[in-house]
Amino acid sequence: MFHRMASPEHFFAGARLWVFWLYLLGVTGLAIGSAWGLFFVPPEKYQGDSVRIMYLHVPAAHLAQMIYIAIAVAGAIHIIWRLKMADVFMAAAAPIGAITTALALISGIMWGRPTWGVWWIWDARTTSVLILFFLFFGLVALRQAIGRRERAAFAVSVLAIAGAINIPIIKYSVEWFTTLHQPASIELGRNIAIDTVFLLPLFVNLASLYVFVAGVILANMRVDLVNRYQTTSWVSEWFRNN
Amino acid sequence: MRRFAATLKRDVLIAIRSGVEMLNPLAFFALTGVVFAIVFGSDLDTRQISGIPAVWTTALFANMLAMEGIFRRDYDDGTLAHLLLDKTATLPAICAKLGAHWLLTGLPIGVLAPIVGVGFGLPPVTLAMLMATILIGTPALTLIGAMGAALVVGLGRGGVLLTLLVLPLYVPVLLLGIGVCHQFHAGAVYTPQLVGLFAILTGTLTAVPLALGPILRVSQDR
Repeated sequence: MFHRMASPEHFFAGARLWVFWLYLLGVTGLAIGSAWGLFFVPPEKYQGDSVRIMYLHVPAAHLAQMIYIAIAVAGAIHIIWRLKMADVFMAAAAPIGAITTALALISGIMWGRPTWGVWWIWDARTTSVLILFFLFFGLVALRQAIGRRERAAFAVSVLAIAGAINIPIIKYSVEWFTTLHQPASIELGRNIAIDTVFLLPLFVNLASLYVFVAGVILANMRVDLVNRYQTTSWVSEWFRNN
Repeated sequence: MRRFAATLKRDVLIAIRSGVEMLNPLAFFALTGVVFAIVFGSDLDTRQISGIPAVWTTALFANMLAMEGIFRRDYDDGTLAHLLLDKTATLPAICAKLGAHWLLTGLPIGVLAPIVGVGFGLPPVTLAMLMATILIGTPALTLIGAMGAALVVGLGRGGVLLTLLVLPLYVPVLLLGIGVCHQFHAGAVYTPQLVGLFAILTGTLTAVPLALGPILRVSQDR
């Protein structure tokens, strides 16, 4: 299974159905989770209705970091084992990561005004997430600037690994420094500081965004594969058959 | 060691003999610093508080502008290819290039910093701390920037791209450096930020020279 999916041809064919089901499941889940969070959850005691921004903000911020970690791991895999698909993944995931980070930042700005009283503060958490956005942007720009694929792949891998230092900074920025941004309310092996009423739609949205983003990245990878292997026989054959 | 000394000497000599080019980052640093000093107005408190980040940021930009050239000349004339051919010589040569680059940009920028800082009305002890933090910070900046420069060497329009790549990674150094100076200026505890600054320096000093060889090697297959 694994070595089959590492081949571009099999990946391209196999990912097709996955994209469909991931999109379907992801969009449905996001619709259910968001509707639940927007219309059926009671307003929170202190934040009122603005608490509903959480259902977009938390999943987006979480996904942004996860996508970056995945890209850095793929970079290491590319450098160590020279797997072709690792680079295809990096190319497909970087712009998605930038969009997800932008979503987290924008929703954070909108949440900051009613709860903190300011749109934006330069504290460790917001600054490090903004840096994450520029890192994603740099990954995309660096790839575009380098013409040759192998060199671009290597350069992007190096940059992704070097930038990974930012991830622990984001994670611990709310614990090491005194800041307006609250520490994590949900952590494995600890009591969850959110009531279940608020929590359930959050988990629905979080899981659905995972699924949806996986679908988008897979679809992106398929497009990239056609681009990369346009001269090979399996691509022309696929186009003839479809 | 011989290779290290030879490359260091060569790089310094080339810089000195190419004349004014060597002074460009310094002139940039002094000029931008002066512009900030002029526009910040005459209120001494504001000048002092905003002077520290102004000097630090201009030092960072001067360093970053100089970074682009660290490998370019050697890449263009083929010297880099020679340094990379002999694998045992790569590491000492790269360390020497980094050292030479810092001697020619970071060190003079650090020495110049108190002079620029005078324009903001900072007291002598703060100026000394400003110089010390810039001297600790610029080697780290040079190391991080060298990695970016190695990634884009030979790409032609590398300048703006280099800024985009390394500026996010520069931010922690900048914040810690400014943090130390501010705390010191206010008479507060500054050890945590100073330790962080040293941590970044030792980390980059350990990792970057080793990573530069493979990165530069990839730039060679054109």
